[in-house]
Amino acid sequence: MSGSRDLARVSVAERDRVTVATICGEVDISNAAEIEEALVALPNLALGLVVDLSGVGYLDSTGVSLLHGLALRLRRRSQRLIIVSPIDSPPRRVLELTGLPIRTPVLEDVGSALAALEHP
Amino acid sequence: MARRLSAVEGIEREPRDRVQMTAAQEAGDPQPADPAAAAIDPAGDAGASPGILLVDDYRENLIALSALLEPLGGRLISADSGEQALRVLLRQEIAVILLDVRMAGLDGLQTARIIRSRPSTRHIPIIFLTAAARDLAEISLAYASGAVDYVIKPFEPDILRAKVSVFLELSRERAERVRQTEARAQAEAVTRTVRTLQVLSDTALTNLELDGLAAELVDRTCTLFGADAAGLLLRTEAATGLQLQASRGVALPLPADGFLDLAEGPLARLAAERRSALLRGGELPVAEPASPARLASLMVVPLLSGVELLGMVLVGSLAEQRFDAGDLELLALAADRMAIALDHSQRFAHGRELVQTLQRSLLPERLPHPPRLELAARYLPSGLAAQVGGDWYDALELDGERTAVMIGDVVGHGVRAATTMSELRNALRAFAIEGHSPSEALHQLDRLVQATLGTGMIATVLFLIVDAGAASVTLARAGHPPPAVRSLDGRVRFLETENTVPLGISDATRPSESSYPLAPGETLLLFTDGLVERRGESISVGLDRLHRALRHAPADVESLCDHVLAQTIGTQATDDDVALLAVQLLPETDGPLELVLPAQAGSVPLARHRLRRWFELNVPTLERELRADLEVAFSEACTNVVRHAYGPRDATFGASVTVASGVVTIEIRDTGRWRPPRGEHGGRGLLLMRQLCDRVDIDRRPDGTTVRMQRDVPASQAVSS
Repeated sequence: MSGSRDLARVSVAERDRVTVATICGEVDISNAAEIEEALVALPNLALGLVVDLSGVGYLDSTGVSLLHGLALRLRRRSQRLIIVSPIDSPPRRVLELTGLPIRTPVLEDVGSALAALEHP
Repeated sequence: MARRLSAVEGIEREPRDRVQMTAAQEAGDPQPADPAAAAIDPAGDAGASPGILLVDDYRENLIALSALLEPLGGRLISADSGEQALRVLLRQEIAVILLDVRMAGLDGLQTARIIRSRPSTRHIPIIFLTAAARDLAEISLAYASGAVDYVIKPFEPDILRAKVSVFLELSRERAERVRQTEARAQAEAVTRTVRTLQVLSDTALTNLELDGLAAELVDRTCTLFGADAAGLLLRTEAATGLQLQASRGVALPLPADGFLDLAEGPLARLAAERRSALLRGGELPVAEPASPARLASLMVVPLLSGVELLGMVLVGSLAEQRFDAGDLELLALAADRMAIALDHSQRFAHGRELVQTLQRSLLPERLPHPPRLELAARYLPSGLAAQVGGDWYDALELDGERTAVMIGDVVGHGVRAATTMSELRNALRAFAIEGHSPSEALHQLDRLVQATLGTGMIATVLFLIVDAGAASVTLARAGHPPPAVRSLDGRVRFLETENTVPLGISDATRPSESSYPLAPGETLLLFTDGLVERRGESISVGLDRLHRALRHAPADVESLCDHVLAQTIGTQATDDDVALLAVQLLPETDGPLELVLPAQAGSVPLARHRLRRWFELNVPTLERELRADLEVAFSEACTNVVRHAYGPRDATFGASVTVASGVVTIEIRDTGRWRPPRGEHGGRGLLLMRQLCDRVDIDRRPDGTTVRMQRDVPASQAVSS
């Protein structure tokens, strides 16, 4: 049906030993499961995953839970998760309020995230 | 070969090379029938592979297009100018042209004019590529007829591919008809086999879907040859092997899962080499798992479409001398017939997917959001044979106040109806942009149809302009059902107009135009006849059903569309496709936001969208950060209802938002009880609500829960518009 709104898109790029997943759009209860599905398929040999939220205009607790779950899953495999979310963007505020950055690094841009993963 | 610019060569060659090649072409140009040219250009014998001509003066674009279109399997020919494109067209069979509009030298529109003026190339469909929205009106007007389409750069790969495939498909269908006729003539020359072939190409088979067809062919083959076993394998999607589609009798010598890897074993080798064979005794591969009854002879015949391997047919016997060379020859002839039937059936299945993609590409990807209107649309394909229908709709913001809304129905189904509908839609868009009134726009459209689309093309259209400022709607119809209006108190009326003759019928009448007031809160419903027509039933019964459905439909346009569809079509398969488009005029100022939505995940983004629109209209002074905070708090409360409240399956929840004396108040009400929040998540949502608002009260009662959140707003920002 043409009435359904396409809320978000996820594109995944492999860069050397790091996977960068870019989410664009809005993340909420209506699409979190699909987005999670797109994010979990990470190659075993990868150092870690960068989730770029720069293009996300809306994210709520459902999205935060998704990221928490993802961080736990990766930690069990000794892989790292870095979130990219610019200061002053709406998702960044929600991440800060829910305390996500305490356990998972949240950086300004993809460049610094890649640098942090490759040279921990 | 040196002069054929295929996609791969286009990528590898340097531009300098290209220039030399062009010069060489010119030297040999004068006679298109030049034998040297024919030898170099394999187009003559490659009739089954129609050419796709790509014309763009940027080499990068040609390479990108080639990569995009490669999977379609057509022959890709690149040209870096209009001039070169015209030369290619002199000597090559081309199925479709992709033509860049802005080029140095002859531009795309000039090139197209020349192509259209030559009898030998007039019929070739053209897809214009343009980055400039201002080219569109010109294209729509100049080429409103004939197979013409356009895509806007940067293009959606799927949509471009779908459009090109449609034109390729048309050209392949033509080639296919020729091939089928030849194959039939050859087979029928062999009189001994006539009966066998008739049994296997019985017209009754042509109506079967692939699975049924394969089973029926196997049954008939087994009976005709007096065999103890028969099986039919078809090539898999990935083309790495053949999969057993249907079998009968004793176990065939195939792996247990029926999958024959094309890289392994004697049967695979025969298939790969496209050879028929009669295997006896020890030559047969062993069946897995070993079966007590073991075949002693087996005929193996490939199923071919041209040189392409479609599959393989196996016919076996427990007796070693049951078959002879004559039987093998007969089976080979029969296989030709089977291949045609199977190929047709597969193409039909493939065509169905294709047309669905095409249909999506023809309807607007998203509807506009004019300041005072809320729009929602639905399209249901026909339940029969799932072809592309001719139903379409569109909406377009003309200026801050006025929005053009249109819906139409082209009589017929399939690629042609869909192409016509896209032409009508483009032309009507162009007329709307040019500022024609509904009556004038339809009159122009009718003239265009009469002049270019030829006889027998009938279409109905309803065109209206909603003026939010004047609170009115002006409309004209060409044979299309009138729109319905549902007022705030639930009354439903139909907006009639005079002189409504479908397009393509008569050139004398001009549809009359009528204006009606449209009050804020009222909802217009435009629809195609599939919504109200049912076989063996008077149309007035259908209109009554729509009347009732609309009267009791929810206020929200998205929910309204779903409700109307559920009450009129329900779950039954429809003979016709159905399109509907709801347009609601929003109240001009304040008043609280009031929503009632189904307690489903999909309602959350919808509710948030409505909140945004309400903020824009009612408190435009509210600063961005504050709005973002309230959006999150609001969505969290809605999410909680969807996640935790339980009630009847069709439960709804209510949301209201008000601004008064420096306070924004959000209330979310449900009719169920909350389960205690489980795990971290529930806590996180509530935590956010508390952090983002100044007060959060949760009132739990046996009959439902109300969450009330308030946020204080600086007086300067709490100004209603």
